[in-house]
Amino acid sequence: MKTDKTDRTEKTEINGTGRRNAGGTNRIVGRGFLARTLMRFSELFENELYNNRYASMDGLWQAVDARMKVIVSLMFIVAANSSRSLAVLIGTGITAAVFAGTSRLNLRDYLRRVWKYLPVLVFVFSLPGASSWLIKGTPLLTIGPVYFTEAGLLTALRAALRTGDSLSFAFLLLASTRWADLMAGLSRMHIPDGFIAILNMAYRYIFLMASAGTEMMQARYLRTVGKISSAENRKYVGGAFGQLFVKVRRISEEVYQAMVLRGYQGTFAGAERRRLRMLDYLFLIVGAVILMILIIGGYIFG
Amino acid sequence: MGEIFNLSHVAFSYPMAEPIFTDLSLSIDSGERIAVLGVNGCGKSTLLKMLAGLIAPGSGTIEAFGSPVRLDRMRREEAQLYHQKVGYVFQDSDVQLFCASVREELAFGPLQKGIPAEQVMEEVEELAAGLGIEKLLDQAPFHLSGGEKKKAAIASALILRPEVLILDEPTNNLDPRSQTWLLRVLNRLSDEGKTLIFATHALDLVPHIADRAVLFGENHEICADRPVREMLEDKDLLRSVNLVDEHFHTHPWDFE
Repeated sequence: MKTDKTDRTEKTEINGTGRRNAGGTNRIVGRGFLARTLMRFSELFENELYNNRYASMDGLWQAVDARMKVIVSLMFIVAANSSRSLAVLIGTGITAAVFAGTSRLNLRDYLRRVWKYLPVLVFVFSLPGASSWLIKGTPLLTIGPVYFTEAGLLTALRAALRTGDSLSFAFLLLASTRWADLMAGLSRMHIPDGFIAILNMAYRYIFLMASAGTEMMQARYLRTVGKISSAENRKYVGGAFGQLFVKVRRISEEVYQAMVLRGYQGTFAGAERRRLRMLDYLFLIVGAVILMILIIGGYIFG
Repeated sequence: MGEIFNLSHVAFSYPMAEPIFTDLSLSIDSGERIAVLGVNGCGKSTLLKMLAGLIAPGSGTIEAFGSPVRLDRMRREEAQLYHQKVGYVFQDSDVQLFCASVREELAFGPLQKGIPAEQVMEEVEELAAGLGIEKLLDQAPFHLSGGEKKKAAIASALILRPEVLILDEPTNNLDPRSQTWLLRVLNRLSDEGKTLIFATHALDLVPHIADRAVLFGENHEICADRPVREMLEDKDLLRSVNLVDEHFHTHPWDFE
């Protein structure tokens, strides 16, 4: 009998089939292609639930108006990305971690989500550009025919720190703010309603697609008996995405019709407006002061 | 009761498809409770969307509230006024819920009308309390169960205080408790004088929420238009349009 080394048996277990469960608590065990695809969908919902859990906690960032959080986050992100000073870059990272602590985010989880993957990847992928191929000078580290200078390694380190700093504040903002509040904040900052509407719709469609996709994958999984080759699975997933596209297109047409039926004529009317409180202004001032200290520290310590 | 809708010799077909209607005529009075029945694909949803002004007939005329309706030729204000008078609840609640929270969802319609935000928020609270869905207000629509989504979708249509409420398969995917909630809401709306039109396959619930039934055959034509009880007792008729199988039976005392 012909055997195919690429054949792999799907060993996935999916507990629960309800949509709500699919949205967050489904446990998918396995290493097959189908299981991995399902896991990606599942993680999307888990991230959303994670954000909602922290956004409803009683912490510093949760108490502040979304507008101020957007402004302070942007201030730190711009400062980190325009500074060459390691002191500023490291200080920005530490400030974000302190903010995360005061906002009752799980620090270990925060560090894992922010610093474990992307900054490390950026550092690794920056190494070729930081090597003697592009940056000449006194070798600090030699690996075969290639050597790295201090300036080269610092360049890679800065790129990684900038990525981590930007991610930290983006993560803080999203984890401590409900999506609805963030959109309301952007609206109050006079970001065009059309742009916010597109963001909202995109956000909504992601979950509609993920939900529909999860159910299709689960239906396929439940009908899978015996060995299915990886190639077969990929073929199925390709077809499923085609189906998903058709389904989402139909849904999008109906969503538009639903909007028209409730008075939508091409422009979104704005939502309620909330006044800023003393805490919000204090938060902005404290953020600005910390940033000033970091920048001055950067000039002093380099 | 005055006439609210009048469809006269309406024909309609989707692009590149067989005609759905070739000669459809129907009249609906204000305050009526009408169930549109028929097998899948017989044209129920098309009729409802036509009444809601989402699709226009290829030929024939539709009159609503005493005036001819061609939404594709209406001015913006006229279309908005029409949509305010005729509320529509989609079969799939997911398509009707596109905002970040249920509160925003309910506020969407009134805000588009230009009602001040403070007043809208008060109306949202009031309606949510009336429907018993206050706890859902700050939740994201995609976190809701099927029944909760349906409640939010119905509330989002009701906030505009429509004179006519059209519901496409309203009891689909609802558990018995949510079905009871829906029946109560529909009966309350009917008591307030609203016109209710809905498509459904839930024949056991029809007598509780409708007085008149319009039955479509598989040829997309209306084959009966009678009081609900009379329609459901005519098993030969229901069988002839494949709406029930031969083992179907109803208990007339359920309709009392």
